[in-house]
Amino acid sequence: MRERIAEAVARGDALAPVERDALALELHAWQRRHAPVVAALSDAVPPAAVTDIPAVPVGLFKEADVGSVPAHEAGVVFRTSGTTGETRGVVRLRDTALYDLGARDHVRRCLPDLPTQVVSLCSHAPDSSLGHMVADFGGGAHMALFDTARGVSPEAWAFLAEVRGPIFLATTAFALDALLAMDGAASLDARSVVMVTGGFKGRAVRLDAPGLYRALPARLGSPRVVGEYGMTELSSQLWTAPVACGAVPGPFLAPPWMAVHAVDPATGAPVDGEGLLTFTDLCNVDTAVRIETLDLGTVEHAGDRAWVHLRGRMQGGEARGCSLAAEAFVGTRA
Amino acid sequence: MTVPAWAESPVEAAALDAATAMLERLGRVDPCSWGGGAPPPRNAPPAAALSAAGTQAAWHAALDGMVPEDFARRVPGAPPRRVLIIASANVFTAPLEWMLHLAARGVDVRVKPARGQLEAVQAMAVAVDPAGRRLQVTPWTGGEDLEAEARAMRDVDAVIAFGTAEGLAAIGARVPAGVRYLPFGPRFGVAMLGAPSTAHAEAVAWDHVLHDGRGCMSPAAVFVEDADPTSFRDALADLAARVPAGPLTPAEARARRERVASARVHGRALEAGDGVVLVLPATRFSPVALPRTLVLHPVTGPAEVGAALAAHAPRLGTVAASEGYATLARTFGGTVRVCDPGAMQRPPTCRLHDGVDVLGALWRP
Repeated sequence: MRERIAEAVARGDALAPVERDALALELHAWQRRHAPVVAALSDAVPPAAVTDIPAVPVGLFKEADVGSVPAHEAGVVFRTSGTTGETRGVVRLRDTALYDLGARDHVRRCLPDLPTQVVSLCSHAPDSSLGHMVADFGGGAHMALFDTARGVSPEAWAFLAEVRGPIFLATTAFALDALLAMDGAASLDARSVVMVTGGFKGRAVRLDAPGLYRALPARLGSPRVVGEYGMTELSSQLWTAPVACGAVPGPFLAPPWMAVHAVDPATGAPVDGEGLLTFTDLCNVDTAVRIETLDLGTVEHAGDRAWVHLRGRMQGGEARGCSLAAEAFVGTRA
Repeated sequence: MTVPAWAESPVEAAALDAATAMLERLGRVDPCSWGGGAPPPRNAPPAAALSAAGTQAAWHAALDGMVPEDFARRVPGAPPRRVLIIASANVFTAPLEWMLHLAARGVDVRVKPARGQLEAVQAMAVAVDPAGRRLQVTPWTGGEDLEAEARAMRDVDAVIAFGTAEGLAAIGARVPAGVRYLPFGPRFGVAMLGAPSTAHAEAVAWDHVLHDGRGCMSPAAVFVEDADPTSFRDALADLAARVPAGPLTPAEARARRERVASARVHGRALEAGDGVVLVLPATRFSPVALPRTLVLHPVTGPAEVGAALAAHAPRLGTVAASEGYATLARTFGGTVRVCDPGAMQRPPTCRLHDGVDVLGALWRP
């Protein structure tokens, strides 16, 4: 199964959606036999279409071993981010071969001239899937200007001001905001690329996304800017087309081996307009081929390609008590 | 202490007359009258999110057990002149208790309805104070219209607010100096039933169905020593036929699907009319109650219940306990209200609110 999927991923744009979907159903059937969580969520009748495959909610990764790889057989373990004491979701992979194959293929589809000099404002903890991907883009070598304990390095601007040649600057939105809050400037040229990932809304702070992007030319020069959408529970990523520095990146392109659907939050059934995003990712061989996120968005199909317009994170449903609606007190201002 | 010091104080005649009249008028209110029946007010408020039968049930449960004497007992000290109540939306009847306590004792009350509950609060206000002399309903967009909030806070002696920890902290930072602030944050309830009888299952299902499982007095979980969920499923399904659920918000519905998925992985999920009964190990306890989602945790005894709740104990507010569990329930601290199954949503009106003697705090020595 793994080999056939690797072959399909390697075919890239030549992989037709109908072949992808057939493989997804086959992979689900395999996972149903080998992954207890997938089996528990599956109905007696096998799915006939990708949208019938039970989508594993991302929250389940925090409370169960989703997938077929026992702890002692895992070659790599990725964990979702979380604060101290918070339960983190776990993804166990036998190896990262398929993960790396997909990540490299799709980033080159979206960024054909990806600079090989990688500078990172992302976490590079051993269990960070984002850190793994970014490091892989640098061929294993990268300059880390971020530390999970201390945040953005005080030397970041000095390094960026002196760096020679085009760079791939990988950053989360919050790390970029922190960088811009520090004194400094650099003059990256248009061969460089700034990758921005992660949401703009934290637990207490919502960043002004357009404002953040608008501030970039004055501080970083004229690198192109690209958005990346990924998560620990997904083995593949989505990328925007690169835009000029100062502009806001647009929709995210899914790789050919991934099907994306917006579903009704109440039922999980596909909807035409905005809904919760579900991803059917062939690279999720070791976990669950279809997952349901907490992100809202719409999916636009152009030929065989799926573009995802993110609308934000679904709010509510977490805190309850006498006071749910007091969320409205802070609501959109958070 | 489980009741305020003034609980045994003499009843004052004027307050008794006022409270009696208020309760009579409230008893004549048709809770389905506000909003004109349909369509529901903008923003789908939780009151409107209940079904018509659910709204009726919640309204009558709120009035049930309210006796005029409770609102008329003399509180030592000088009363505040005016109090602002900032309500929250989970339970549309929540501000009523304090409106009555204050208005009956001659205190001016200003109420900020939760989003979407303007008409419900107005209906209550008219019943409590038909002349509009004591009670003023002052809507504003919470967290956004800070000028309106400042105006509402300007000439009050105290602010009683219900909300999330973040919301309450934000409000607290804006309360003017010298104004007493009584914030009440999120709480949750559970039931501890040992080996539950059918009557227990029916009673707890009723506790859960009132307000569709929203609110701090709804049982977020039921700890049982008998893992058979049949009686709970039957009770919830029976209530669904008589008191259908209102619409769930998308976030609630999504969260319920995830909880059902968790139960399919770790336990069992049984459909029960428009609700669901989930059987999950006690280690999967969550204080987050979801509408029409009755979560059963089979346990071997009180020790397992205590272990499951330990991390959440500070926010435990209401416990329905059967014999053998009441003692355990009281070990969680002085703020926990322990009651019989079926009485979770009907707290005594002469009570400490989350451990606080509200009137005692408002009346100046």
